[in-house]
Amino acid sequence: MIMQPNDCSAKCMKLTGTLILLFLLSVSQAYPKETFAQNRTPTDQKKTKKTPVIDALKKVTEVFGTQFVYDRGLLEKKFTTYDMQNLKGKSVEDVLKGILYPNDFVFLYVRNNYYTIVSKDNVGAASDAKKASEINPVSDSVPKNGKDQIFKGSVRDATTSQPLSGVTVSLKGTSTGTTTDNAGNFTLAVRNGQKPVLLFSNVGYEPMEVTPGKTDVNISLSPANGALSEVVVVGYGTVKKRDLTTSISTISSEDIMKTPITTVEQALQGNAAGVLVVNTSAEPGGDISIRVRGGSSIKADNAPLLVIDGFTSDQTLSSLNPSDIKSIEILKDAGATAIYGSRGANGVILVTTKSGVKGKPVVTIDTYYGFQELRRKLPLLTSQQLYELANDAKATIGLPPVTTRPDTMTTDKDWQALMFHRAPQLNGTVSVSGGDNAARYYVSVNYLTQDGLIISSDYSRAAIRSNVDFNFSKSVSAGIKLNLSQTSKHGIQVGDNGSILRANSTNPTDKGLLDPSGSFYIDPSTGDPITTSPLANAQETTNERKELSLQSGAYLQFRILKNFTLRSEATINPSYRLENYYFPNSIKGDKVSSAYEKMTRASKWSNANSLSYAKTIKQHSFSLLAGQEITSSFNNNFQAGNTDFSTDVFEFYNLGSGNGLPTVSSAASEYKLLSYFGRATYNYSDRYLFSFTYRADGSSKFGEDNKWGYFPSGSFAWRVSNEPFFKNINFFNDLKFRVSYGVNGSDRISPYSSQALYATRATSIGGVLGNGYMIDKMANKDLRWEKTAEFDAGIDFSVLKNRISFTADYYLKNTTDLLLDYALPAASGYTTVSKNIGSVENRGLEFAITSRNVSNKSFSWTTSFNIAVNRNKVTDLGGPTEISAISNSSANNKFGNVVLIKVGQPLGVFYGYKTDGLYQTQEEADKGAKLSGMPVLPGVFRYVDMNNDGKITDADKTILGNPQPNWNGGMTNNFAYKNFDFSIFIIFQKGNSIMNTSFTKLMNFSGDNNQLAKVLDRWRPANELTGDPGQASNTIPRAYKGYPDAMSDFYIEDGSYLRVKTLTLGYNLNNKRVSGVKLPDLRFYVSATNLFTLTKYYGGYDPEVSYLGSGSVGAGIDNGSYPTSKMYLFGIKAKF
Amino acid sequence: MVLTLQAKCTCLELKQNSNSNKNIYMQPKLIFLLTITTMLILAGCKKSFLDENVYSNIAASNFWKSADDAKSGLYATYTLSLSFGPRDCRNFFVLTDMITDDMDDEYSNTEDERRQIQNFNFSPNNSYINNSWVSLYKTIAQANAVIENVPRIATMSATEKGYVIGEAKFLRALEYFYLVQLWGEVPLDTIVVESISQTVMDKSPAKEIYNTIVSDLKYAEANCSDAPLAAGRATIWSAKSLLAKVYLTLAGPFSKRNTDMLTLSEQKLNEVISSNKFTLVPKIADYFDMNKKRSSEMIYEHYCLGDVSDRVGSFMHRNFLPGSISAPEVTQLKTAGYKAWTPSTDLWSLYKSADDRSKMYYSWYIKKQSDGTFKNTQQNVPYPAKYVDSVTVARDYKANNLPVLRYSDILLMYAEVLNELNTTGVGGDKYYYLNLVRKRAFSSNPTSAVVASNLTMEQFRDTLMRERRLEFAQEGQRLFDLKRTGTFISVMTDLATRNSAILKQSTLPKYTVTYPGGVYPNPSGSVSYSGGTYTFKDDFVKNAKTKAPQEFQLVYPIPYLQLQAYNIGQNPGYN
Repeated sequence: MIMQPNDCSAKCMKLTGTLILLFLLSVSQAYPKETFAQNRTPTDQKKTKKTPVIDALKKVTEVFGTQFVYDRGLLEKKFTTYDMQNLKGKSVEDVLKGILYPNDFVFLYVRNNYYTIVSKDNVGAASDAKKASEINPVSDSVPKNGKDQIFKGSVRDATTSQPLSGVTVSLKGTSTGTTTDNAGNFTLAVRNGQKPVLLFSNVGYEPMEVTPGKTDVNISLSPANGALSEVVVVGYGTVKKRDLTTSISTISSEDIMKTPITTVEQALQGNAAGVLVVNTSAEPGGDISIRVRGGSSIKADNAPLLVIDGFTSDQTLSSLNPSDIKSIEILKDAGATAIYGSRGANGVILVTTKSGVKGKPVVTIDTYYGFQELRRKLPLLTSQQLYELANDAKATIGLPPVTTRPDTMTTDKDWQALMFHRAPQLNGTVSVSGGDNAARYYVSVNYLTQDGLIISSDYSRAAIRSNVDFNFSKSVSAGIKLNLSQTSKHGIQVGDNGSILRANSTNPTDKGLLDPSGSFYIDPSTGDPITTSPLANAQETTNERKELSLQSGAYLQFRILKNFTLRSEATINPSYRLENYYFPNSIKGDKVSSAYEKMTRASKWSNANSLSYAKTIKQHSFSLLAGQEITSSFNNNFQAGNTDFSTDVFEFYNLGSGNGLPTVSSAASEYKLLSYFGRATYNYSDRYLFSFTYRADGSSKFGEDNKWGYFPSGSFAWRVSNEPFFKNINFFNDLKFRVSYGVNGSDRISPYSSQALYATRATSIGGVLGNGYMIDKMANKDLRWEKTAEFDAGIDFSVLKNRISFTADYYLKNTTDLLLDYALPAASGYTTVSKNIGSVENRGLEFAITSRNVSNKSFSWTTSFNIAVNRNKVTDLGGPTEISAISNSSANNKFGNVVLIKVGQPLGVFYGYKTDGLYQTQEEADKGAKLSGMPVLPGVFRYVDMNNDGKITDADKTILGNPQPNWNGGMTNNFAYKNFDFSIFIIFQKGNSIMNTSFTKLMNFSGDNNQLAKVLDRWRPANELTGDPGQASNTIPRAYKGYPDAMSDFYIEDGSYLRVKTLTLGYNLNNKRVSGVKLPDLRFYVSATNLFTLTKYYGGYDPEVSYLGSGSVGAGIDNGSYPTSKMYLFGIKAKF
Repeated sequence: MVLTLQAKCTCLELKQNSNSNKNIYMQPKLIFLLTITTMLILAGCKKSFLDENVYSNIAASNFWKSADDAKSGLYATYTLSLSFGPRDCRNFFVLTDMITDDMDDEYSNTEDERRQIQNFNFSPNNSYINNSWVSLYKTIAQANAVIENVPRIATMSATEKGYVIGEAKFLRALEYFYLVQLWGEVPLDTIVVESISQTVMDKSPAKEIYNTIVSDLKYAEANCSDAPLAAGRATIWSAKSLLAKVYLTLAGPFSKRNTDMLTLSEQKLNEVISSNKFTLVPKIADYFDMNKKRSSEMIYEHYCLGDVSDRVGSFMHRNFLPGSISAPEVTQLKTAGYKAWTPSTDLWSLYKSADDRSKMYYSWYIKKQSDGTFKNTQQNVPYPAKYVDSVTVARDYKANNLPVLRYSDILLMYAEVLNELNTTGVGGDKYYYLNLVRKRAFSSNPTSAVVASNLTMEQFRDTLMRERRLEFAQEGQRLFDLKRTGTFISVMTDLATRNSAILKQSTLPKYTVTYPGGVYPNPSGSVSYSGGTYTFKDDFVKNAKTKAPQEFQLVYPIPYLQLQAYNIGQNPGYN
């Protein structure tokens, strides 16, 4: 039979769906049946089967997580008929009674989940013991044959020297063991003739093996390197940090919450080595750019892949409430990211949200209130200074002064004071967590409202989360995670024509917004209303973005047989975004009213199924994972607009009431991805760790024959500290070398990039609006995956009893087959086509140190520090040596290419003329090389003639700066003294340049509009008539009306900074009772953000700036960007 | 399909197993099998699952199936041609008029790239140059798609196909005519480009390009409709008129004119005039009146719609109008313009006050006085007012058509050809045709405009060229007139010399306008205003050109971006 391809697709999909469903159903039936069946058939032989007590206890351990100390010899030949198959819902005590009592054994509660099993006869005084210290299980568990060696001693904390109670002391290779009492003392009897090895272990401490030389054993346990025993999420699974073979940074919920942040992206800043976070706009709800180990794509998106609770997300993190987050893992090297193959090339950010914790419901309330302030005002001219400049500017070109009395220009309107205000911010989260063995839940409600520094800008978010996990049986578990969020943002226009730049360049003599009668001021010379006053623009225009999104996911997990786990997950992420705009009639002058509403709907679903297997045979541990994932996302948008409204009442809510002709447009696109992946790990004796991953991805975006990309990786770690020869080197508690290599891909270009498409074009023929179809995009059937191959070598170690832990990585990342808009000769009818071309290299070093400087009962001090160096270089562009990087900037229009992608240079370097000071005399100016159109005068720039051809041409343009820092990092110091805690968080970066294009307005020396106060230092000629000696300057040129400027290093500033990002002082009240009533655990804190900044950056509000920074190029441009604010706040956290 | 069946079987098998509860430990194996089968099915499906479904575009392979497809493909060509014309009019006017003695960059403008053109400092990086190049070739590529694909549409008659292909060829010829005049040798693209390797095209000699233009126009002449099939569509008369102009251009400069080409041109002009299908509208103002579109004088125009869409609207008013509009109730303009350029003082001085065109083509700033009257006060400069649309309301996109070929052009070309060939035309001599245009311009006293029949060939050339200047100001004709007659360098050098001298004077000359009182028509009640005389600001003089082009600047540089994409070699003089 012949099938149409689409037909087949639909059928296949349907069939696959059905199969998956059937498969899930059948499996979910299969497991419960196994147990239920037995219940229903009491004659089943298994029911009456005798189980060895030791096996039964093992089972109890498996099910309840309890641990036992007992003498194996005594229990060896004991059996129980207790029903071990159906432990669900029973208490551990009941089960133990059932197993032990018939055998005349009893159990003693030592501490949580910890029991000692002794013979009924030997209970003696210990039988009514309440505490571990009152029993001496050793005497019960070891045959008293007089030949035993008795080891005695005490265990203390290595850092505080405090005795440790409850430490498990056991004889290696046996079940013989005991625990320490309150004073940290223990006694353990060991049969003679054995060469005993004692194992000491305790939660929160590094385990220790001791081969005692004598029977007195006094040891100190080092607190565990928390990070090492942490479980790290690695993508389709977890691994203990100690077993990692790849480079992964983890950010805990404590790190996330230490700065009062509104979106999760902010938590990444300064907390992870090799992650560079830049606010592309500091406006509330503004975009944030994240780069992991430098940007490697030119056109394709460079943002790391976001995976929220196991599922890739196309959304930003802004819909998530930071309080809901348990941890964030940043997968950096290819060994870690290749399991995400197709989309891992820019790093992967794994976000894990909080799950319910077993126990009674715990309610947490977390709220803060604060306010934001402008960090600094730009120093601008006063009216008098401005008019003096204007006079100078006119004098330079031989025109009469604007006014002979600049000193009478007294209206000093402070436009910044009118634009900016103190803006409050309120954030509150209430969460409830709890559950039992069968079900656990975490639910939370969050509301955030934040006013912007600039009038009319604000952001709010309301979010509800519900994470529920179920254990149906020992082997079947499931869960649902839902996050519903609604955000609303009002923005203002920023950038080249934005309110900030316009306000700052407005003359201080200009009036404010409204005259005393409440109308807009009318320009007395033209009779027009003041042309779109920046204030009017900011205040009167409505620019709103509302987003409603649901992230929903469910998983079902089975343990099949002993070592297999099957997991099936599915998500649906619908989101709706409404963007509304209204420009009212009240601002006349330039424009009449206009309004639009744009709806964007995105719907993404995915399903992943994986099977994992883990097995340990003696010193060999294996794990295998195989899986498949399918993702599909559909986007469509609809926009309607109108103009010329007779009233401002409706804003954008009644588009039909406009007198203009309504406009309407819509579009839709779809993207699909099909993937298979696998991972194999092998661990020999905790010393040699190997991991291999492989992923195959098929993306709908690529050309017919190139849809599939294959992404392998391999990594290896050598845990030297576990080598026998290393046992005696006490300096190192842990030492591990890692090396990995892998290949990743990127398909982050628009769908349909490989296809030849026709687009609709409005037509006017016939005098009516019609639709034509025109050639739009050329096909490139060869379009294939962008690939990034990455090598990483790292070392992890901790020393001085885990006081200091250290991680360092070197990486070399080579991105080839870049997805690029390849420029075509326009004579073909096309200007660009998506093509794989060129390569980019990133090399870097990362260091992270965590140190517990002081840790005792009343005072502790910890420091964590990270720093990263990245060198980015374009190595090939497939022909041309340079291409223009940005097109949508006024600086680009004014000066030509100001940002370049050039072979041998970092991505997006700044480009223009070098200056060598100013001409000081007419003679110098006459002799100098000339730029066509530039005045030849003293006091203007001396551009450097790079090629020495006597004139300044395009050929003399050179690289002026790099927007990427040479290095960046962060440092956190936490102090705790009794109930107080204090933390200081510093971030810094060095060596990046900022191109301040707002100078085209604020430093243009024309005197037409207000300027930065720095122009006061300008070069001025001497005036013999007035006796003014003038002013020499070699950096700030003279006033010149209509100065024909060129892009030069004058526009480039050093963007390095060191910033105290957060200072927090907190006070904790735990376990307090008032009149016998237990108070909730309370924490009060005050915090300040961006309190102090050390930077040389002068021309803009803040060095954290990147106007066009969402791409790899166009970063580091300041053109009146929304300024980063200072914030002070007070918060309360309560837990009960 | 095999896999599918297998999968179904497995499902059944599994069900039976679980029902009979025979062997529970079989199930994991089944699960394995099933998982693998599922994966295999997905793999088997991969081709179709990963195929892209296109929603808001049309895949090229699905197009060109019907007469409607042909029409919408053709109409898109028309829309694209608006780009080097009224739509992205800066490219058009900066490249055609602003480098001539007719138009200057407005004094207070500081935009570098416009200044570069004004000062004959052509940079290959200039985006006006690149944008023009790109938009011309985009139209050509779309025309190529129509020309190549329409013949394959089975459901269309030969005549229908002829119309569509003829018009596409007309548009292709028009765009190549611009390209070859502006850049000289350019790549000649007449195919549908389907792969990256096909995008590489070398320059073709100008002669080859002209051959294509002529053969395209001959095809259009033979196949287009006699009357426009719809407003805005080209006809055989559009093709004949353009062909006449192409021949006239090919006739070469005044110094060595090719008689064969002049004769060919004369034939085509003769055909157009003899058809009696076209007449001059009585008043020049009528031609540009929004309510009187599609007049008897119109032969081919870039046809625009106002209010509806940026793609099909004209943006000329925005670039011609001054920076602020004081009395929207009078001008019906709800928006200010960008005052992108002004008429040159040189052109302004040529207009006689009795010339209707001096009032129709230009306006100046009128301000509402406190007593409710409208008066001119101290303002800058005149602004071109040919393209003012008071009918549509949108601020950005208006319905002003840009004339490409109008009957007055035919008449003046005819007068030129008759002068060059020293002969007499179908309805009269060269003076007759020249005076037809002049008399219409001086409608209040037509006889005063008549040029006496006593001019030498050279004097007639001067008079005629001046008349073309006055008539077609701000229509993008001046550069091509100067270039085809070989006078561009000399005229511009002369202008630069004169302007430099003027600007060196201690007192700059004053330029004035005398305007009569009148009534502004206004839907909400007409407003009367009194007449007066107004002297323009010195800014008007100060933007006059003082630089002259060099010989190599007769053509623009090949845009840098184009050379970067594929190096076809820069035009001489620009390296």
